[in-house]
Amino acid sequence: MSKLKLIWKFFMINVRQNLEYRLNATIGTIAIALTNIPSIIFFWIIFSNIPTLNGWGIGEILFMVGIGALAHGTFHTFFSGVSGWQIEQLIRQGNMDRILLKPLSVIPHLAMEGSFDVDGLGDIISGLIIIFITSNMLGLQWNIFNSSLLVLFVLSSAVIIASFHLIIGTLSFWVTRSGALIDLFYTVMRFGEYPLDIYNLSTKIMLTVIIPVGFINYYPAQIFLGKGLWVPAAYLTPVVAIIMYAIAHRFWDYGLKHYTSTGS
Amino acid sequence: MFSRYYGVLLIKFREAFAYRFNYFVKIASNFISLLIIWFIWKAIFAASTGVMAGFTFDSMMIYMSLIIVLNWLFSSFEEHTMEFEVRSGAIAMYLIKPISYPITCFFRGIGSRISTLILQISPFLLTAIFLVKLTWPVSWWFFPSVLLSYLISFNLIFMTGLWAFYSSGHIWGIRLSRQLMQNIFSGALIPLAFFPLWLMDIANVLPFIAIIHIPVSIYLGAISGTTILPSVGLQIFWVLVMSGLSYLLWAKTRKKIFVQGG
Repeated sequence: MSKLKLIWKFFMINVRQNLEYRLNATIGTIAIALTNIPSIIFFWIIFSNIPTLNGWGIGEILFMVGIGALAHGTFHTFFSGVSGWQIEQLIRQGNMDRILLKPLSVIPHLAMEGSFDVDGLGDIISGLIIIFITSNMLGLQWNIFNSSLLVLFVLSSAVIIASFHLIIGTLSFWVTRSGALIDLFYTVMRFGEYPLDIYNLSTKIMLTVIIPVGFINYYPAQIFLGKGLWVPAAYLTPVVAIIMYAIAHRFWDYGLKHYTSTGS
Repeated sequence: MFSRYYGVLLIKFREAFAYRFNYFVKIASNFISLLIIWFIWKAIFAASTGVMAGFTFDSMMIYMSLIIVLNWLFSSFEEHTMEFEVRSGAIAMYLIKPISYPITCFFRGIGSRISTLILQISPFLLTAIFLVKLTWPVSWWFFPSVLLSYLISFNLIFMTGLWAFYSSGHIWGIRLSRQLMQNIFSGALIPLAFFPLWLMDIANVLPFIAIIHIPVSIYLGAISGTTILPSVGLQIFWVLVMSGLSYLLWAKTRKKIFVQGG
C-alpha cells in the first residue's frame, strides 16, 4: 500500500471515530471555540481603560490572539497523535509495544493514528473569525502573497507546539506522569499571548531562544502588523519550527532506546 | 455518620504524596503564572494614571495572588475521577456498597484539598508574603466565606461530573465550558470592578460570583462592615440552590445508570 493511501485510510478512520459520539464532538468543538473569549473580554476591558499597551492597540493584540488560535487549532486538529498526553498514556499503559511492532517508524505512525480531532476545528474557526474582524479594524489587506505566508507561519507554529509536546511526551520514558509538565508548557505559552515588548530583556531572550514560544504567535504576527521587536524575525518561524522538530526527534530516538515496557 | 468516609478522605490525602514530581511542577507553574501576571499588569498600570477601578498595581498583585490560590482550590479533578469511574465501570462498586456516591466524592475532594493546602499552597503563600506584600485578611469572615465557596464549587464540579453518565464518559467539553464561565464571571480573569454594567448584570445572576469575587473582596476589605452579611447570605443561598440541584440530578441520574463493561 502506498504511503498516501495509508495516510488517507488512517485519516478516514479518525474522522469516523470523531463522528461516533456526535454530541460530544459538537460540545467539544464549541467549548474549544469559546476558549478565546476570556482573552477578548480581558483586552476589551483593559483597552477601555488605557489607550495603548507599549504601543500596541487592541486590534493588534487580538490579531496575535487569532494567530495563536489558528496555530493551536491546527496542532490540535491534525497533530494531536503526538501530543504529550497521548504519548504518556501509550507508555504508561504499555501500548507502545503494539506501535513498535508495526512496520512504520514510530512518530509517523503516532501522527497518523491521531491525524484528525474535530474539537480543534473550534480553535481554527474562531481564529479565522478573530483574524477577519481584526483585519477590518486594522485595515489589513489580504492577497495571495500574505495569505500563503499566513498559512506557512501557522503550520510552522503548529509544528513548534507539536515539538514541545513530543519533547514532554518523551520525558514519560523516565517520569511516569509527565502530564503536569504539559500544563507547565501551557502556562509558559501564555507569555506569548502578550506582545514580547512588555517583558524585560532576559525574559525576551528566554522566549525567543531558549523556550521559543514567541514564535508561536508574536513573531509571525509582526510581519502582518508591520511592528514589533524585529519585524524580519517573522521569517525565522519556519526555521525555528524545523530546528525544534529536529531536537524533538533526536530526543525521542534517545528516549526510545531507554524504553522498557511496563508490560501489562 | 460520616466516619465511614474518613478512609476515603485519607486515601486522597496520601495520594498527593505519591506524585511528588507533579506537585513541584504545579508549584513552578503557579509561580510562572504570577510572573506573567506581574509583567502584564506592570505594563497596563504604566499606561494608566496609576489607579484603575480602585486598584493600584500593588493591590492588583495581591488580588491576583489570591486568585491563583483560590483557583488552585476550586478548579478540581474530581470530575476526572468520576469520568474515569463511569468509563471503566468502576462506578458499579460504589452503587452496591452501603455508601453514598456523592458524599464519597465530597470527602475525596476534602482529602485532596487538605493535601493541596499543606503541600502546595502554603509554600506559595509564604513566598507571596514577600513577593507581593500579602497581608492578613481584613476580616476573619474570609475563612467561613471560603468554606462556603468550596461547597458551591464542589456542587458545580459534581454536576459537571454527572454529565459522564449521559455521554458515555466524555465530560471534557462541558468541563471546559464551566471553567471558562467560572473564569470570566467569578472575577478570576479580571476583578469584577472593571466590568461594564451589562456584564455585571450577567455576573450577578450566576453562582460564580459567590465562589471567588465575594471571599476575595472580604479579604481585601472591599466588602466590609454591613455589606459582609448580605454577601455571605448570597453565598449560603447558592450553597442551598446548588446542593438541591445536585441532589435532584443525582437522584435522576441514579435511576438511569447503565454500567459499561466492569
